[in-house]
Amino acid sequence: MNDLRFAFRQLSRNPGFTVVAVIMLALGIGANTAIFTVVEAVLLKPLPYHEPDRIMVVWADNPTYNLGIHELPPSQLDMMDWRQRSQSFEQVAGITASLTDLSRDGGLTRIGAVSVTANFFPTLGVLPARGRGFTAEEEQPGKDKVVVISDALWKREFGGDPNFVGSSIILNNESRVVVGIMPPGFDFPRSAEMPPPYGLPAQSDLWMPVAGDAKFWQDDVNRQFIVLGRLKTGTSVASAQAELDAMARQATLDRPATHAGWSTHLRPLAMQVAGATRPVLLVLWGAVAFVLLIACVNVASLLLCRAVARRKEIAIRAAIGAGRARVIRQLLTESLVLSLVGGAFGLLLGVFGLKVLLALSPPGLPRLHEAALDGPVLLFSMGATLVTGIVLGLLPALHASKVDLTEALNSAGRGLTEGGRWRSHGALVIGQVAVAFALLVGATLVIRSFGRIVALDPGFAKSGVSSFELTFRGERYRKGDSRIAFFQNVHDRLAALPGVVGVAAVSHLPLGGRENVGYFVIDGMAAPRQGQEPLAQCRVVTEGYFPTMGVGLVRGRDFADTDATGKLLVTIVSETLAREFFPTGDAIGQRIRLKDSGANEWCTIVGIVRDVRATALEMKPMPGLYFPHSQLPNYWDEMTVIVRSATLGRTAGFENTLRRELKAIDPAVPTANFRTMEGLVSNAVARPRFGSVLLGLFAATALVLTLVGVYGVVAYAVSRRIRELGIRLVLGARRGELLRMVLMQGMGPVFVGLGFGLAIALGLGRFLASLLFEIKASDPTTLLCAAVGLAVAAALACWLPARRASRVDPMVALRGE
Amino acid sequence: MSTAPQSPLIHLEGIKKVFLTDEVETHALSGIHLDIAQGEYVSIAGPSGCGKSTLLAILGLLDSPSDGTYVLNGQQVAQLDHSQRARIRNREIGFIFQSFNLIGDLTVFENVELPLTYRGLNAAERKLRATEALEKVGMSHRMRHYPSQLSGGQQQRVAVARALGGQPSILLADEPTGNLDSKNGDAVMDLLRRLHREGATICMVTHDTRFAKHADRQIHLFDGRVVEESAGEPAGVR
Repeated sequence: MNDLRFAFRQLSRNPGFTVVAVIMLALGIGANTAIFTVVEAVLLKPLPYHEPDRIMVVWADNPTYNLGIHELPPSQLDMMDWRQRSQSFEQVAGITASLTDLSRDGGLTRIGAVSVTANFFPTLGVLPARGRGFTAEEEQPGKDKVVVISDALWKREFGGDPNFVGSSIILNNESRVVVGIMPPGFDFPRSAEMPPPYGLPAQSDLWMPVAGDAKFWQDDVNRQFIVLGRLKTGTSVASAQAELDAMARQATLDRPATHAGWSTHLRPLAMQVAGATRPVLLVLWGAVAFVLLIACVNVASLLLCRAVARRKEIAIRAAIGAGRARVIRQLLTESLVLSLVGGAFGLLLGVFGLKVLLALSPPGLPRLHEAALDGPVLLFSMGATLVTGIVLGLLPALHASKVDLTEALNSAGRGLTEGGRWRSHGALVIGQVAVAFALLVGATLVIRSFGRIVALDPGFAKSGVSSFELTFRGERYRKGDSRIAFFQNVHDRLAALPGVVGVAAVSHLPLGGRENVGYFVIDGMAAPRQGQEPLAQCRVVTEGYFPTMGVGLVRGRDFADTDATGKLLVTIVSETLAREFFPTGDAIGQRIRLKDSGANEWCTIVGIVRDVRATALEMKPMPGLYFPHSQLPNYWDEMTVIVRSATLGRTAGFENTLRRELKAIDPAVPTANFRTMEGLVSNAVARPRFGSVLLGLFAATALVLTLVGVYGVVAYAVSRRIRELGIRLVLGARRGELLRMVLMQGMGPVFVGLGFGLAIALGLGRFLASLLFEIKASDPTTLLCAAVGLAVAAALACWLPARRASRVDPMVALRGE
Repeated sequence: MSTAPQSPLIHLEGIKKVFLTDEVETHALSGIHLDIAQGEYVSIAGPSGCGKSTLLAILGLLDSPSDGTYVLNGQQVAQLDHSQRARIRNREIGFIFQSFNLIGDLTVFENVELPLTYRGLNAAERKLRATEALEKVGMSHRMRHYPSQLSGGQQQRVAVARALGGQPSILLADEPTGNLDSKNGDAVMDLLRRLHREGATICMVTHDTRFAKHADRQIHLFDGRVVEESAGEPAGVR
């Protein structure tokens, strides 16, 4: 109790020291609390499903396609095969995106919906809160007109009517019976939790059963289902993987045409959901741990300075009977009190930091809505605070407890200057410079990566293009002519709007979240081995798409109104496709066709356009194929209309104008997702931007703390060496020499710290690898810039006390007489 | 009384030092006239606050006079800038302090070598001179020790060696025995006397009349003025 009282008294008597130390600790603990809150929600908290560790995502992969994505869906036949024959899984379920519009009060509302196999809910281990899930029977065509809806949709659209189960709703012009309502918070799957090209909704509000005949379930070519499996109790991931491997080998033997080169791999659902966010958060967590470490080192350094200044007090304590352990206990109590005060302010800062973090976070960061200062977060903060208190107090306490009583009690008697006592400070400076340098290198690498992604040419116009989706449904647009006429009408009306310079439509908007990848065959070329047919991203576009989208024509011609039904079927290919498959430059005039798909007649290549980074900016462009909508109007029911405007961006006014015009053309055609290419590009870089902004922020904090630390140590050293400096002046040292001496002595540990920091940065580089784009973790320019930057900043921090040292009055040496 | 040399090593004329504190003028020195000849041993005595240390600081170019002329070895030095004063201090003056003022982080040898480093001498010459100086004070056998490993008397002998190493024109000693017991004090005074016999010019501030008598000439200060010369002919004092 006495220790505690004395500790509080010590802190209150040194308000400057206390305030500085508390600010540094609060910064470190606050940043850790904020990041841990997100880490806990996204990475550590179990998924809200029954025994979530048993839920796996089953992916297929075929590296020979070199798609840059290793998470490809298996075929329906694979899924059914696992469902029926696998001994490892209790349930195997499939999910696929479904564009769904709800008709209500004469209007249409786009709903985040997915089609699922009937056992989807049992696979997750979550049952509807009201009503029931799907029965196996409802996987049969005609018996599938049922849906389960989310609690949010039930409340939002249907007022939370307690008798709503059993009611009918109109989805995509069809009536379906609501058989169940899910518990609050259930919204799986979400697009941010799965690979980008599968078109899943940002939030799932509605589930409907997939119904198919035997032929559908035996389809071994199309790959459209994301497959989930629930492991049987006691089955390990490794044994399940081994079984799937064996089944894949057998499938290759039995069905080489569709399975040669394909493999399957399991991924725990929790890992899948965390996905690309995982490395970002882990790196950020590491970064804030570094910030806390630097803050601790700074405070430890301050405590060490105080311990030096308190040598006499400690010597007196020892002289009157305090043992070494007793002295350590006293000093540790002081550091713990300091860290507890810092921790309390840190927690407050953490609450604020979490708000900032949520504001900065990219759209769709998984499970972020679950982030809250709950029990585990408070426990973490408490733990961090206590560990901080012990760590930062231990070195100064041990140091102070070893005081030489005779020397300390008689220190005024001798004219010796202090010197050797600064080795501990030097070690602390080395430590914090090393950690700060590693952090600075990491942040610089991530920021440079981000800069490179931002500077990438996506292959299309990033600004001035707005888009919206529309869906053709029902008899009215069954025939291709009606769709062609519709788009002609859309073009004419929208092109007439003031400021609009181009209108077109495309089946799959670049960066729009959905892709259509198909096998293709080139006329006259030797047929590739089965399973190794080339793949291309396929798009159907209306006339004028390329200039409207800003995709440059490299050779040949654009689609024209002469490319109509009944005429020569034509296609335009991307540069990558032309380069890879027609290396001699003779692509124009060659014929190409899609295999096992809608456009499976020979099409003549009439043009080559620039590559487009369509799936993700940082993924290299795939071969691309474009078909004219006028020749394939029924190829795709969902189309995205793009409008290029010289003056209008995505303003509410412009969006309303577009809606009004479309309603005037046909109010029954559902429209949704009004977006701009600028917004899509911004979303595409949101994750690296989030990482680089936060990492930059933490590195800047670390740098400032380090500079404060270096300055503090050198300034304190100078203040304790006034006598020595005076002697040196008396002996003839010039002021410049003293300035240089203090600078060099201050910079010595900094240079050593840079050396250690280089080793740390190189050692930790592999953890950054997944966040880097076209830059290596050992990039010499980055290492050099960070080293020079830190050294210059540290030299400035040393220069101020060095200048003071050079201005010492030599008389001080004599005044001590 | 000895005859004053033709050209004194130190010539002070009308030296004044005024400190301004809270708009109050304190006259630490009020017109000091003093000549010190080459090879002379002068002691300065007086009560606390009489201006002894201020005079020594001005003699050692650690402080500038408010008024007056100071000629050291034929050079006007009263109003030099910091850098010029540092250079002269390094070459012409050797200091011996009451509390030794050795640098704790440096060995005995390094302490003695330090002023020679500032002079820019090469390592071989520094080593030669420092070793000679340490031999002169009988401390060459402890040159690898640190000051904290020495007794007070030994530390003061090292401080004397440091002052001697640069072969200065004058040694300025400020209460050199003040922190020593009588035995060590006597030993240091014997050392100074021996150095004087060998030709060193010494100016010493001391309270101890016993040690003051070691000097050729004793100057008494009071209220910033020279009030008495108690031994020999006051050749250099007007």
